[in-house]
Amino acid sequence: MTLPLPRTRDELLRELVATTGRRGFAIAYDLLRDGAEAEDAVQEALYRVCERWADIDPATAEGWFLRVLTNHCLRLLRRRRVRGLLGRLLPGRVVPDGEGAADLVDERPGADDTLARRAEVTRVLGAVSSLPPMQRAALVLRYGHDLGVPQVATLLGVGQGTVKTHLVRGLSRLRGELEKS
Amino acid sequence: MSDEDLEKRVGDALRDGRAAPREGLEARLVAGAHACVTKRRHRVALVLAMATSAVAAVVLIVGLGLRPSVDKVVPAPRQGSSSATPLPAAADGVISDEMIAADLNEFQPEAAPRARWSYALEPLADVVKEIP
Repeated sequence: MTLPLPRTRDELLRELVATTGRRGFAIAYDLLRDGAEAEDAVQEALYRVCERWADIDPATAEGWFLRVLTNHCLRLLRRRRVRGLLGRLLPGRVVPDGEGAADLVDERPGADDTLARRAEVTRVLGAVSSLPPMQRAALVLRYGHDLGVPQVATLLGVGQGTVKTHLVRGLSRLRGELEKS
Repeated sequence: MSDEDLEKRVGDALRDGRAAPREGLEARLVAGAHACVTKRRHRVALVLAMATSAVAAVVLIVGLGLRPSVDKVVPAPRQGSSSATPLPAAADGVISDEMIAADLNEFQPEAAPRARWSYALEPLADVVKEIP
């Protein structure tokens, strides 16, 4: 998507928020499963765009923003994973990962009509959350946001072959997790 | 379960489990990004101020340290002294053994006047006289 040429940094910021803010939030939410953290991640990515606004081509600003956002979310996921491991090694010293089944359930009234559907969503999202960050990001972007493999590769900053490998491994691991539960 | 079914299951779960953002997301994002910029600017200003203070402190300390001290003023050579370089004075005015040793090491008999030898031999001559 091409943005109109912004004259100032504020204009670029507002354009980006208007066109891509909600999509960025959805990607960040799917990766982090936490509304507040997702908003923070989007703000951080917007700040980085603001910082480099003079160097950014408006035609590629959206892609640039989404890539910065995805990288930031991956960094947060890796940090969470390390915190989780440390929490297991040093119980009581490190705050464990905030991810839990309760975070995975959408509390909107009427979003899921049946308990069975809620349980299914919780089970699948719990299994997705247990994947390593790159596999998780590949699955979320490919199947949750219907992006093509080349787009996923661009956002993750890896080759298309690597994305396909992450997808295959992620699905295989997910199948194992779902069969176990 | 086929791959297609699993992909569909994952996609549906992600879409159904996605929470809607709270009201006023756009305004919060813009305000948040501005706050980030301001916060970073303040942080940069703070770091610069700290660095400037540190440099100023170092300059002050070095400047004060290099000021000539009264204790280090070298006294003028004594009258009649053969030594071209005066003895360094200790901070408390007492000449230490090391200073005397250094002075003696620099002593050159051929350049010294005879008077100095006679001063050194006088007490020895008295001792020799008393030997039976």
